[in-house]
Amino acid sequence: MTSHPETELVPFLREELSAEERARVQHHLDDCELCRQAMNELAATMRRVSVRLEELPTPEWSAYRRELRLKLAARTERRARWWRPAVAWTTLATAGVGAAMLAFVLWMRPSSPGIAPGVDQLAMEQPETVDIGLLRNYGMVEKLDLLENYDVIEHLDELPPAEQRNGTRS
Amino acid sequence: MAELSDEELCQSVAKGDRQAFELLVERHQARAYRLACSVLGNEAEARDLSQDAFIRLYESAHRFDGRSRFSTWFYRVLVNLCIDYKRRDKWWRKMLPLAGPGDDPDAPGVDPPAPEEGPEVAAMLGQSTGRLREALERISPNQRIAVLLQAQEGLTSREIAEVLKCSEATARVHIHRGLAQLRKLLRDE
Repeated sequence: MTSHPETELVPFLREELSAEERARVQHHLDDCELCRQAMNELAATMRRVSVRLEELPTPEWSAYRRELRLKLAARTERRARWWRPAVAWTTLATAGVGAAMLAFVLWMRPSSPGIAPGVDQLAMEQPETVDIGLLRNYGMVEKLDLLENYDVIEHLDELPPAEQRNGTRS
Repeated sequence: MAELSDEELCQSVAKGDRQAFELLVERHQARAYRLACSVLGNEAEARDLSQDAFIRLYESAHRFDGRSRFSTWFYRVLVNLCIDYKRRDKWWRKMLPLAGPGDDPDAPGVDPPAPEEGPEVAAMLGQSTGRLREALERISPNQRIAVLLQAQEGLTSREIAEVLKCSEATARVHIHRGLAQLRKLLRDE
């Protein structure tokens, strides 16, 4: 016999199972006296719980609803009261933060007015820190990556003629 | 308006319809109160929290998307409030812990712990409803909620799983274990 489908007994009673599950549980119940008994006991307990819950003392409902209305009104009022100053405080706080940020930016700003100089201009204004020669040939400097063999090219005219070089090699 | 379904009334509440809200309260007040009472084991707290659940309903009706039944959605709101309350509460009032030993669906079934019998519990003994309440307090909260939702509200295992945020299989385990424990506790009634 397969294992007892304990947790499926209540869903079986309440017809919550799929057709396949239901057939399987039914097949088991046909052969298992223990599960049939357990199912009947669970059903009886469920009924008892259901009936007894109905007997639980309940409040006077009109008073309950009156109290609920008052609570709801008080909550709505509290939220409205909170919201109005909240808006004011939020606006004030935002303005304060904005002013603080502006003051910080002004304080951090360099003392010399005007537009910040470009890199080239800055380099020209600080000759002691840059190689003037390089700046004069800035166009070439920009193409340095193309002039990896600059030294060789520069001394091309000093190289001996090709025949001479070949002769030396041979 | 009385012929409208809960779901339709909830849509009206979302638009600020107070009459629809009143009607929904009337329809669900007894169930909500009884469920809260059974979960919390205290009438004053149940009254307070069930009302809070209705206030939450009024304020969040627009969040009900209609994918589940209204009752499933509403009981989820209520159960969450009760669970949150018990979580907060246990710090200073040492009430029953939220996660009881029977809450683990993979763990073998265990007998409920012996209750601390105060004067209130003793006064309830001998009364059938009192005995049920006592028995309900002795099973784990998840089992209690699962059994109550099934016995009282007729929710399916799948809907109970939605309320408890667990799998359907786990919800079935909670129902089975809860009922088995209650049967044992109420056997001598």
